[in-house]
Amino acid sequence: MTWNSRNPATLRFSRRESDEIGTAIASGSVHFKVTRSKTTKLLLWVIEGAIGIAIFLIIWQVVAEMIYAMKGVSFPYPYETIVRAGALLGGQQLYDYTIYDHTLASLTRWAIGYILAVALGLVMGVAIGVSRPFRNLSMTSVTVIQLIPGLAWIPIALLIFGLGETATVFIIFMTVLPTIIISTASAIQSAPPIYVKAARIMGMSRFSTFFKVLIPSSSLQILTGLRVGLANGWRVLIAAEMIVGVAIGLGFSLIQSRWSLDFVAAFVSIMIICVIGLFIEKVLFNYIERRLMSRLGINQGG
Amino acid sequence: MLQFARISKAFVNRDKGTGVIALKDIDLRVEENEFLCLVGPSGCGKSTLLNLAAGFDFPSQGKVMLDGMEVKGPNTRIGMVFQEASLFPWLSVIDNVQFGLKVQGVAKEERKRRAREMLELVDLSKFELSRPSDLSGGMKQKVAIARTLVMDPAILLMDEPFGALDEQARKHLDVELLGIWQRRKKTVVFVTHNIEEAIFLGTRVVLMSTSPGRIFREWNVTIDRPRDMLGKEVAQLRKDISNSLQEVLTGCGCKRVEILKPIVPRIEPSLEDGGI
Repeated sequence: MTWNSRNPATLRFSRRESDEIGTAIASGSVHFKVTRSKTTKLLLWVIEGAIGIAIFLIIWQVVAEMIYAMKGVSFPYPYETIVRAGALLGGQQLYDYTIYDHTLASLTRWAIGYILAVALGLVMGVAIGVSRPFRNLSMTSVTVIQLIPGLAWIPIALLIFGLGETATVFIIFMTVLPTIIISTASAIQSAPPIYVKAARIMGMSRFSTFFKVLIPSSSLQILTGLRVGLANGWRVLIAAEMIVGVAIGLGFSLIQSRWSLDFVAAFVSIMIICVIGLFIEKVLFNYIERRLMSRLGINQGG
Repeated sequence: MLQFARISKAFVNRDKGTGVIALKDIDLRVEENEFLCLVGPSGCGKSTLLNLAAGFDFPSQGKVMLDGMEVKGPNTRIGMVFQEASLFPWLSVIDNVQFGLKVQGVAKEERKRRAREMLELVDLSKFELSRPSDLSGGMKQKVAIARTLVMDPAILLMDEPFGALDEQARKHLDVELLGIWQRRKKTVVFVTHNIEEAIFLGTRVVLMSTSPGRIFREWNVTIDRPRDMLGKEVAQLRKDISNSLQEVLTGCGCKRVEILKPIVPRIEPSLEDGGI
C-alpha cells in the first residue's frame, strides 16, 4: 500500500451509503449490501478526463498567447489546431497523402520493426535467462547496444541501407531489441524456482517444464518489457522518419510542415502521435495485461 | 524404503573461493510406513537432506537409495510438499491436483476422478474450480498435499509444510495429515523446527546438529495415538528433545538459547507452579 492509496473502507461515504451503513448497524447484521452505481463511476471518470484535457488546453492557449506577445511569432492555438485536425481527418491532403496514409505508413514501419525485434529479443532473452555461458558471452554486446540512443543509429542505418524504408525499420528494431532482451532475461531469471521444482517432482521433463511452467510464471514481467519496448519504438520511429528521408509518415509530415512553416499541421501530427501512443499504452496494453493477469490467476490490487 | 548411505554434502562458492560442508556422514534409513520427523536448528541441513532425497541435488559423497535404486533426479516415486506456496496460480485447484497425472499421460476421465477423490480427502471438493489465489494459506497447503498424494508416491517429503501458517491452522492441518497418513499407509519424512509438532506426528524424531549437519540423536515415539499433548509422556519426551537441542545449540556456539525459553517453562507447569 502506497502512502496515497486510500483504504476504500475509510473513503468518505455518499449519503446513500451512510444511510445503508446506518441501517446495517441498527439491524445488528455483520454483512450488508451496498448499492453499487456504475453510472456515477463512469460519469466521474468522464468529468475528470474532461477537466484534465481542459487544463491542458488552457495551458497551451496561455503559452501560445505569451509567445505571440513576446516574440511576435504565431504559435498555433488549440482552436485552430483542432479545426485543422478536423479538416485533415476529413480527408484533406497533406504532402500528397491523407493523414490516414501517413498514420498507416508509420504504424506499418513500427509494427515491422517491433515484431522483428520481439521475435529475436524473446529468443535471445530466454537464452540469456537460462544459460550462464550465453549470458556471459552476449550481455556485453546487449548492454552496449542498449546504451546507444535511438537516433545514433541513423548514420549506421544510412550506411547499411541508404535512405528510406528499411533504414527506419532498422532503427526501430535496434532500439527495441535490447529492451526486450534484457527484460525477458531478467523475467526468466527471477521466476520463482519453486514452480519449476514442483513441476519436476511431479515428473515433468526439463523441456516441458520450461514451456509450461517457467514461461507462464514469468510472462507478466516479459509483457512489461514488451510494453516499454513498444513505447521506445514509437518515439524513435517519429524521430527517425523526420530524418531518414521517407516521403510518407507522421514524422515526415511533422518535419515537412516545419519546413513549409505550416506549424498548425505539425501540431496536428503531434496530436495524432500522442493519441495513438495513448491508445496503445492505456487501452491495448492495459487490456492485454488484465487478461494475462486473470489467466495467470493473479489477483489485482492484492 | 529410503536410505541415506553415508551422505556428505558440500556447497562451494566459486566467486568467493569458499566452501562449506552442509551435511556430514548422514546414515539414515526411513522404513516403510514410518512418519519420520527431522528437527534441528535452522541451517542444520534438514532441507538439503530433503532436496537430496527428492533428486533436486546430489550428495558430494555417499548415495541416496530408494528401494535399492540410487536416486538420480526427480521422480514420481517421491512426492514433495514445500513450505512456500507452490501451486501454479494459473491453474484451477483441480488442474493443479491433476497436473502430475497429466504429465504421466493418464487418461482425462481417470485423472479427473482421482483428482476429485484427493480433493475429497482434504475436504476441498467445493473449491475444485477456484484459483489458488482465492484460497487461504492452509487450504493451499491442503491442495499441495492432494496434488502430491494423487501421484501415489512411495515417499512423501514435507519441508516445513505448515511453517508459514498460523498456530491454529497448523494444528488443524497436523491432525488432517495424520489422518491421511494413517488411512493411506504412506511413508513420510517431515521437516519441522517445532518439537511439539514432531512429537505429535512422528513415529520417530531425528534431531540434527549443525555446522556440519549430522544426526545428533533420535527417539522412537511409541506414545499411543491420539497423543495427549498435555500428558506426562509427551512432556517427558519434549523435555528430553529440548535438552538435546540445547546441547546442539551450545555445542555449535550458536546463541539461540532464547528459542528455548518459551518451550522450557512449559514442560511441566504443575511442578514449577507448585515450587513457587
